[in-house]
Amino acid sequence: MSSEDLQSNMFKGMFHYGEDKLKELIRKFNERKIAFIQKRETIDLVKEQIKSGEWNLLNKYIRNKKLQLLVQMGLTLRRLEEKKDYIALQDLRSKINYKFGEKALHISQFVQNKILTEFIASYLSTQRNMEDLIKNIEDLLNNLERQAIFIKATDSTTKIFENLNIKLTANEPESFIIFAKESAITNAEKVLQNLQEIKDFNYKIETKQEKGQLLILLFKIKSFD
Amino acid sequence: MVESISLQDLSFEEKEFLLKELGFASDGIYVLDSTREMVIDKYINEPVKIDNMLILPGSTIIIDNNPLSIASYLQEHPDVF
Repeated sequence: MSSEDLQSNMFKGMFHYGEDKLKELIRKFNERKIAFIQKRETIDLVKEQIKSGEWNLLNKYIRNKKLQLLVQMGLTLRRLEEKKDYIALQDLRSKINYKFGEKALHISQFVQNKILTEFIASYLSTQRNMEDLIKNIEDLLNNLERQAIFIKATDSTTKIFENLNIKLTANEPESFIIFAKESAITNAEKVLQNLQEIKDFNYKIETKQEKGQLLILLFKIKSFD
Repeated sequence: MVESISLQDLSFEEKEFLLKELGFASDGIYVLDSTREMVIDKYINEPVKIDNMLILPGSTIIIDNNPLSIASYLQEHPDVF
């Protein structure tokens, strides 16, 4: 084959399938042998998350299909953040918000910030029953506004502590999460200090700090009365 | 697992031909169904643009190329990719 033929064939292959070739592709499509995609990149991005060790861990404790999807999207948001692909990151956030609403977006961001994984890693040591684990983890995701506080740098620590106190007293959750990033960490540390000073506090406190994040986990101490 | 064909290798006319053969159409920007209504990506509730469509097996599902739609599709069709 001459270089001209080769070039011509490459051109045909890449840009001009031709009617017969297209009909052949349609036949294969109807036989479910092919799929028409855009860039392989987006599919690979999703598959990379589904194949990850973290998804395998999280997936054990989440049965609800919508929550599973939001968790996968959280992992995808994190990957896009790592790749500094901020346009795709914002686009995905908007799509989650548009389709499922703000609460759902918070679930994905909860996973994006690795809070769910850290929480589960600690929670596994306090809870052994699989059904209880699944129920409590799904309850947590469905009730983040009742079982978690995300501290901002501009928040008053007195207000945060009051808010926390109301949530713990009103709902008596099995577990509670306090999360702060970067400049909000100082506020979270003050809240932590206040919590540690409470006498006979009903909750065991665990802290995890890494990469400009502070996570404070509270686990209710079980009473055997 | 099915073979993937990139629509980015097809000209606009070839994409329109493909849509027509599969019972769809286009207004030049969006994908239309046989009644000339915009095809809505059921996973994100948004119309699908011809330049960003995926045509996937399983009763010919046309969706937008984004992680939420793809992950939703994969939940229903785990063995396709």
